[in-house]
Amino acid sequence: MAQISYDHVEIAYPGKDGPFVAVEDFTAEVEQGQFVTIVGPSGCGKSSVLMATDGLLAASGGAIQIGDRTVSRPGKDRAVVFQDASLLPWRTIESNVAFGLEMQGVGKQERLAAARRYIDLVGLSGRERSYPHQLSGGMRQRVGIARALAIDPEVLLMDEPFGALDAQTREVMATELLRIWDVDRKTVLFVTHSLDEAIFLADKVLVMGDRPSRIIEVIDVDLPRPRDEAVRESEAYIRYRARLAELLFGKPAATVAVPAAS
Amino acid sequence: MTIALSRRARPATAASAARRPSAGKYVVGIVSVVVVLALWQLSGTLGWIPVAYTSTPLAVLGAGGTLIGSGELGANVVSSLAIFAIGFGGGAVIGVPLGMLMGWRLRARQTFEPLVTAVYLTPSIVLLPIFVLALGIGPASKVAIVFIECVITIVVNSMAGIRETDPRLVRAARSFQASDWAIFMRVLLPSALPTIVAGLRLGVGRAVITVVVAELYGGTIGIGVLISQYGTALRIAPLMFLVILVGVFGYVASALLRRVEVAVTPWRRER
Repeated sequence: MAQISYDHVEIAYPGKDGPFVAVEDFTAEVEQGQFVTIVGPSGCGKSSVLMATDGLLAASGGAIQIGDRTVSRPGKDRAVVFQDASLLPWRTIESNVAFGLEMQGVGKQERLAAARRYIDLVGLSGRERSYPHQLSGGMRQRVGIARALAIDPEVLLMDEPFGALDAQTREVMATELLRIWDVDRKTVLFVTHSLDEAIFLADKVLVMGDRPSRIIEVIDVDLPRPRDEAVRESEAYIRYRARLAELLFGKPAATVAVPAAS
Repeated sequence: MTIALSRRARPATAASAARRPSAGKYVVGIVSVVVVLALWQLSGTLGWIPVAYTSTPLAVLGAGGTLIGSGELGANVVSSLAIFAIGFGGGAVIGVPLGMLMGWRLRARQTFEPLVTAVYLTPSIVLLPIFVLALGIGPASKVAIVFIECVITIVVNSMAGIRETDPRLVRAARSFQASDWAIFMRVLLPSALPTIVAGLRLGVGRAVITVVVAELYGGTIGIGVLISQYGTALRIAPLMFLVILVGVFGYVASALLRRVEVAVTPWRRER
């Protein structure tokens, strides 16, 4: 059975002139242990799909299932990494990472021990007592990832987590994320508007269009794992990227495929 | 922020490195006060200004000595302090929870907001005669008006503190299945704390002023009563002493709350 299944999901927001349909007829399946990215133009509703999967947003039609349970509210089987990390500024890194466990009523010793484990996993050992504002954007996102992993969810939901980072940090974080993911290969649903992120990370890319906001294509990414920066140079990667660009921009993007002239 | 950065970027000389950045602030402040006092004293002594209206710092100090020595000040200060403490204390004890509740729960906000806004925009000190009629000329009416004057500021700020909480933090907490109560205690309250304390500081200022004004209006004991008596008798030196005393008290109370504000926001200290 699929880990996540979307059955004709529709997400609508109330608007002045009746409901505004952000997502319609979204049907897809995500297998256990799969890394799936959702890519599409801004405003195509990809983040709405993610929030609905967590249960923070109610679907106005259709159904989302995690295993055999229909999603209605957030649960300990899912955890979100938010675009802006959304860390509590008055808490130390340690205490932020332990937050999810604290909400579940896990005892202090146990949750701090878990927090330290995950802080170590994301490469932030030594920063346990720092506050979020003392960290760079990339480090804050590492904390966000540690906080989500700390509750040991079945599904990790990532909402453009590297969207606010500079291009270089972004690529480093993508590679880091794959390293972390490789430890226990949880099911990941990763929303992005970066074509490179979408391909580099994914086993499967759900490509969404705009108006109507629905899946216009599913691309299975058959690149060897573990992946590193070198994969971005491979022919297969470049083909996937061209296909994505064609779907989203209507023409193949030459920028990456052609080496710089200078 | 930019200023702090550019300062740090400049190579530190031995002198600037030895002096802490906060020390300079105090030095400048004290110097400006001393200069003004010296000018005041000098122009009085040299007869540039009519001493009968303005007094001089030394005369004010002397009058203060007399007031303290005679024991006249002590009893009046105790009375005024008691009115301040009960009025402001009550305002804080009622205002902070009420404001937080109004920020948290829509129904509570809908219930109390019209009332709070109306009182907020009313110069409630003009209602003092009504309070005196109802509660007498004694301390009760003064406590009541002090309470009214500061509680609204405290409510409004406490409410704003809760409402200004970053909704993304609430969303993250909800995603981790935080209960409503946990969201209140672990997200809304810590986020609102600095604004709540800022509201208390504003409340202190209003309370101090209201104590004096209420006592000016009528009564038999209190700093305001003394001020009123010396003012009527045109005895400027003790009048000045008492006014400055009130100002210093307000400043100290506000500075203490500023300390509290810093203490409850340790994550801002190293910014």
